[in-house]
Amino acid sequence: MNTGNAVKQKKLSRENWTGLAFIAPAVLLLILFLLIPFGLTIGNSFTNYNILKPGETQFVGLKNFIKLTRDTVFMKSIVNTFVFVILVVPLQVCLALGLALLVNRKLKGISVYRLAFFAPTVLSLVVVSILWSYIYNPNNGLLNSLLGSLGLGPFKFLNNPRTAMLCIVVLSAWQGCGFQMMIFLSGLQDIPAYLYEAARVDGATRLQQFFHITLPGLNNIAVFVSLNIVVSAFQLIIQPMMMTAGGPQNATMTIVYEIYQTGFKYNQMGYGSAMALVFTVIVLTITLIQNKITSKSNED
Amino acid sequence: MRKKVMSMLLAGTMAAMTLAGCGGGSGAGAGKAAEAETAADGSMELTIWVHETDSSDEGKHYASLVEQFNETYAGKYHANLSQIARSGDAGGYDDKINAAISNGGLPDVYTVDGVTVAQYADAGAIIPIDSYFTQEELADFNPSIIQQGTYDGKLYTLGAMDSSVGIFYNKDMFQAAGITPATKEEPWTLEELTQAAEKLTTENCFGITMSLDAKDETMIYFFLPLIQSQGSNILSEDGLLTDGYLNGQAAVNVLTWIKDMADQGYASATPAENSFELGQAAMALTGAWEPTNLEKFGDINWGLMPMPKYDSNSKAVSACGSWTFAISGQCADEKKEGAAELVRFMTSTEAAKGMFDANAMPPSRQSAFAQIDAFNQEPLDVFQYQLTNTAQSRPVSVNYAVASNQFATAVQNVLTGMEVKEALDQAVEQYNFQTDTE
Amino acid sequence: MKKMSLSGKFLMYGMLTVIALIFMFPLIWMLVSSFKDDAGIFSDITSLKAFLPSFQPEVFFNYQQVLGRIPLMGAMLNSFSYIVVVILLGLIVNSMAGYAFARLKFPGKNLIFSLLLAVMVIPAQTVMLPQFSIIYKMGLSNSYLALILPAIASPMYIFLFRQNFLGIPESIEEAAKLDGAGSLRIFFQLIMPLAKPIYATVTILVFIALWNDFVWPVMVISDTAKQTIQMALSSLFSISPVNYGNVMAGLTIVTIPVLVIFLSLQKYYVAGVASTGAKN
Repeated sequence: MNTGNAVKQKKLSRENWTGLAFIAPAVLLLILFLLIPFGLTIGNSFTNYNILKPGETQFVGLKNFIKLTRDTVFMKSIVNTFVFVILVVPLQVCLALGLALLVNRKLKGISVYRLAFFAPTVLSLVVVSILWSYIYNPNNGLLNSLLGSLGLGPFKFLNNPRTAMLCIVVLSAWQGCGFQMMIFLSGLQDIPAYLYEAARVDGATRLQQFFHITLPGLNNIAVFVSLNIVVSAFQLIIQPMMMTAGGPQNATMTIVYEIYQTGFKYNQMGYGSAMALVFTVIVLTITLIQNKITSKSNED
Repeated sequence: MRKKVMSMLLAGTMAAMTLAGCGGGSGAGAGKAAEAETAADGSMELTIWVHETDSSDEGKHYASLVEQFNETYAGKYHANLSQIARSGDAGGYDDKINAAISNGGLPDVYTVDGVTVAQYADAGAIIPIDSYFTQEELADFNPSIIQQGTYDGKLYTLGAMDSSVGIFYNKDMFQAAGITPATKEEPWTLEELTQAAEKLTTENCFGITMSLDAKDETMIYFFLPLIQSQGSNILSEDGLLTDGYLNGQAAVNVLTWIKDMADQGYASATPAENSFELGQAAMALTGAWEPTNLEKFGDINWGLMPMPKYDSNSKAVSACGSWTFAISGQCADEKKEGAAELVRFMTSTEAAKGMFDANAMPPSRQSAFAQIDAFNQEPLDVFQYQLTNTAQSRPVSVNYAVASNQFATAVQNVLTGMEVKEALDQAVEQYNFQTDTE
Repeated sequence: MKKMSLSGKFLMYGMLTVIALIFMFPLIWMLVSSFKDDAGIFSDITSLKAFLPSFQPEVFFNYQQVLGRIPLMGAMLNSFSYIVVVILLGLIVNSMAGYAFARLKFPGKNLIFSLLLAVMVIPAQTVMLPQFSIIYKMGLSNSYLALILPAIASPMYIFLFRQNFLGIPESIEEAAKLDGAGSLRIFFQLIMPLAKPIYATVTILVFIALWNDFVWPVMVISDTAKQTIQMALSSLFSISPVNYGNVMAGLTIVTIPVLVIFLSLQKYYVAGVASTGAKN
């Protein structure tokens, strides 16, 4: 009894060491290249740090955060970002899962189709954005002539403050879903085939198989994918930067775009860091809540 | 849990602060390690950064100039060139400069976009160069080049190239519509331009294309002259205030006109790139890079008119400004002489002439204009005339970037339905907020 | 598995093709535009002609111009070499950490994992300058290490690996443990081969992210001989007027390696749900 306990303890501590050794390289690198830089950003948020005048940096207490509460554009960008996230996440998850299911099959030339669905993520967002601004062009753009032949429109798309963000949502879901499709695809591969075989033997329909084997089997990966889409959706910047410059009338101004503009275009790194800190706290809170909910449902 | 996370983050911050010496340790003005490195042959080593890689003709020109410099000053100075990639809006290059300002490592000489002179000068990242140049030397530069490089009464930068904006027009369409183009001395008023655009606009052809969808620095570059034409600007003389300027009557007039042109369908408010080159617009308000572009398309029989003035009581004003050379604030004292020599060499008459060969941009100085035939005959003589007589630089202000961005936003807002005055008032309000102007 | 009927197959291919076209059109646009001059590109852009080829007498003129202007091949080789190092190290480092979070017990596991989620949400732009300061103070400027070191560890991929390993039945490892295999051996000999699809996925994703990275390489690399592919491409965009035909040719060239890598890794995705992992 006694000896058995001792062995168990020793084993546990050996596993402890193994675990720490397994994470050590990653953790050290992350501390050096992410945590410390972010620590500096937090420090900067309490200063008047101007990129061009590092020598004149002074501690200003909460001044930046007080200024934030009066910043109407920043507030607007928070709202816009949330609208974007709420619209794009379900759309993109469904698209990604749908595509993954579609290409997860034995079929001649299927990798070419996978490549096709993945194609938008391969191209630089800059080029994709340029092309889409022509497609959305209210004045003889492709989409309007297409809708026109159906007797609809013409629509102003990106030039209308009410629809501009919607246009970016569609483009973004279309552009990004190939990425998550690949992740879903690798998740689908991990579902043991014998489960399906057994189900077929039991006479389960395709739909039943989907709900009772595929979905539960994808649970872990779905947690990642939804979190991944949420996090990347919160970081929306290139599409509005290239297509709308945050307009019209600030309708597509996003938090990260605002951070970038304040920090790098206006050189106000102190104020920009305060925005970044607020942003990180917001996303972190949501991520932790999301993680808690999903891992709880995981355990059920 | 949350508490733990926060305390970890805080601990991380503390560690980081000690590690990095709490923010920018070496200030921009601190200067480099005292002793100047010397090359094997005893010449003084200089470093220079430019914003073009050697993949472009402009970049190749910089490389060959530095090579010539090293030959000319063999045994005395030796310059080492770094050619840094940038994206269209200078991302990459600017980031690298900014990082070097904080961490040290700025070169002795580097290129600076004309509109950022005030910011860099104010921060001590570049130093005055007047004392290294004689009055005669400076007199040869276009007046606007000096204006653009002067901050707080001191000259900080000189360039080899300049730029200008005018109205390119389709000669055949003008003839068909019976329109006589303006001459370089007698620019059109906006009213004349509007009338012409109205006549020229058809189902498949805009009267004029003005890049109204650009939403960036282009807006100021193209339309500020119309505000300056009325004797106003977007910023006060000291470069700090926008109230009464950015939202003043002159700016209101200009934005009202822009909105009108778009509403009437004379100009496109949405992407219409290269419509002039394709014969889908009769005129194009655009810059000195346009002839190179037109070459690619061929077929268009084009001419060039000067930038219009606001009305018959206004003066003619045109745009200008481009990349320039400056001596860095981190340049060691004993190297400044050599750095100035390098700036002189990079902006010489020969350098300016070579720049035209490389990228077709107008030169920064009169002696170079005299040697380039293209600028002494139609159509490009318009640019020489403008740069010699009517060009006014954009405001040399530490807050320029904010003001310019707010102007572009206002144009976009007006084109998407906002009232002109409201859009400009909002621009001023945002400017005041961003710059902490009370 | 039941064999699909002919009409079912036909329907399937039809549907796949239609959807594929919706996703492929920028790629198609890029490709056909690389054979047009700017006049052609912009006169076609308002209609479906934008996606149809129209060849000039000199079919590859844009390609010749671009390759004459830019040292694309050298830059691609530079990018390729450092990215391969990042991927190799990154796959090991991130998957080991992911495995530890999924399976092993160690003190502070939950706290560290929460922190990992926290750093995942930090926008890259906000830490870029301090990151540069660190690289600079380490004396790594202008070396490939400046590109490699910060790119290896990624909270996102650690998380992805963890989620993936969670899905592997623990019974497989139990058997190995009973045979006396240590964690290291279990990980390298059992788990890694089993999780090939996720390694393939991460390889593709990391490759694309780094292949398209621009600002960071510009900041840390000064030597033209060491420039990455996006740095080399940038001069196509930096000078007005932009020659879009050349841009499209340049982009097509740099897209090819990505496509090749994507397709060559497909063999690690066992087609369909036919077989993986636990045989029993």
